[in-house]
Amino acid sequence: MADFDIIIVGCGPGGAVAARTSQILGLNSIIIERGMNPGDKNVSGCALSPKLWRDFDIMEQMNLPHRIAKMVTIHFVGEDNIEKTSISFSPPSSDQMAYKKSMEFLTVNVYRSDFDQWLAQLAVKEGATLKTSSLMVDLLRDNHKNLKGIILEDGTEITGKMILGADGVLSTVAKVSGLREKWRPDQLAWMVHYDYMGTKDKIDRVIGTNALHYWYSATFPVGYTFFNLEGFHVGLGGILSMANKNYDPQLLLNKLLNVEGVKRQIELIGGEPREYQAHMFPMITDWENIYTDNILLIGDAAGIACPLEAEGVYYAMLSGQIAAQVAAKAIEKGNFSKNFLKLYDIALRNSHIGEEFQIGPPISKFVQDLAFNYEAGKWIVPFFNDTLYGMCNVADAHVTNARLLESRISPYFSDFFKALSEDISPMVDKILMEKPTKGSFLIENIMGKIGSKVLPILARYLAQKSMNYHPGTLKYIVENFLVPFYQARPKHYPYKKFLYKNRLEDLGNLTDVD
Amino acid sequence: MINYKKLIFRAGTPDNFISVIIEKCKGCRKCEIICPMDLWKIIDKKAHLNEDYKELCLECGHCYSICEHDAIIFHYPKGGTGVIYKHG
Repeated sequence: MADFDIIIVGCGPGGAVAARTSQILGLNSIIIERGMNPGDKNVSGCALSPKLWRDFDIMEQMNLPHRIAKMVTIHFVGEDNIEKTSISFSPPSSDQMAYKKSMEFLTVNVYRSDFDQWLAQLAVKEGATLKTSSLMVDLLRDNHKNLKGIILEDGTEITGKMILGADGVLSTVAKVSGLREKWRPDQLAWMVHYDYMGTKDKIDRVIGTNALHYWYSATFPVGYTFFNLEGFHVGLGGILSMANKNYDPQLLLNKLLNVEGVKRQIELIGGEPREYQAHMFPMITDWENIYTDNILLIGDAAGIACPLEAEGVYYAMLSGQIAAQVAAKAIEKGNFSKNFLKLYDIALRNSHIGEEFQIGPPISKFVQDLAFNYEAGKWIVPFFNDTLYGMCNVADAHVTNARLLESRISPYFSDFFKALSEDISPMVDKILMEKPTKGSFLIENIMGKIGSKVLPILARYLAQKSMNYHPGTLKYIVENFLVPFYQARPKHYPYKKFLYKNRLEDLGNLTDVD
Repeated sequence: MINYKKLIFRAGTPDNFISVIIEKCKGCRKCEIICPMDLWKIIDKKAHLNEDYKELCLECGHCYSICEHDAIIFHYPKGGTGVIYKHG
């Protein structure tokens, strides 16, 4: 007789939701957390997305210190570390595809110390056992090598039928179960940041609800200043494999802190550095090896995090919920085999997580090439800025500006077309492939396969040509690329209805695999 | 320059949780570069960990993950000890 039905290792958002779901499904669960309190070991930007409110009823009860972000600003910083231009956006004014919460805000910013503890309490309220200050070190097996439970560092043995590994990016469960030793450096992002203390009043006045700022630069990978109720994070992240003496986390963080706009935000708020934090998150293109006999991995431990925005909380919570449902099915059927637990993978593929990962590889390449690699900022920042300048400056007559525009930005065409064909077009191809048409087939093959070779050459040719022969170039691009592209696109993308809609009973539809 | 070493919070005394297999270390300096607390130094082409690391390490695992020679062994410190993020 096992002590528990389900043992969950790690009490982050994924573990807590898994425990709560298990309890609601009538199972007895325990969460093992190495921190003294849930959240002690966790770091994030912690900008919670509206998806949480769409998919988790509990979010309506959340009453934690928070700041609602209704606008995001992306600042573009040049090689001289001075901001050149910026763009901002807010929720849409009218959009029949949007749901209510997504119209109200972009994110809700909270601290993980508050959020993780709140979620843990919800699990405990449903009857889950929470064991803190406890480190799981190994799996417990019987003489026949069958999994019986886990072993803690002090030798305590806890027995259970299913084990859910929600123990983060350096998952011990993944390691000791043989699912994964460790990720490669190109599959991981590092993150370092300072938490600053500020007063609510000052942040209200300086920032208000424009509480998300990205700093896109030619000298450091994308940085962020994210504002909470009475504090904010200033930091950045990069890919581990890119590390070299110029791609050093501290060096890059100091560059971000020296950007005039960042210094101004800190100074106006009167922010005082309060805490220094570092963490890793997975940047994988697709998950693999996330289940085996008696074991499922959740959230960061499984590599399930948004490959574009590095959002992790939602993905951890949803995978935690699905994992608990699958574990409950396994217990009900008395079948804990890897073969049966494939159901977890199927359920994930049919959820919004699977939807996000449909274009994992091209998204990952896009982010690595254009966001984590600050070399790209050396052309993107001036290209974007000089285009705006060329259209709007008052240094010359407007007709002259208009005529000069193409010459002004043509030095960046080569890089732009290279990025278009290598980073953007493959992503667009994948998006269009959902509903293949003659047009998307054409685009996929011309733009994606041949285009990636031909376009940079063509772009260079056009760029050179446009230096002394400009009138035809833009027309050529518009007529030959943009117009066909626009005409070829499928006219309507249905808002995909998923088999798994986050209702507990939905899993019933997916249980036919055994 | 912010004195980041003053901006960390901790609990208890961890046991040893990081070690180096000197024979495997190629002295590539990746751990030295990637550590956000500057806890690694390369001496005579081998990685050496700061003696005070148990009081300073943020448990991010950057060093362990970046080492392609598997020269760094890392496991989490004893439960209830090590870094605490109050505003993570």
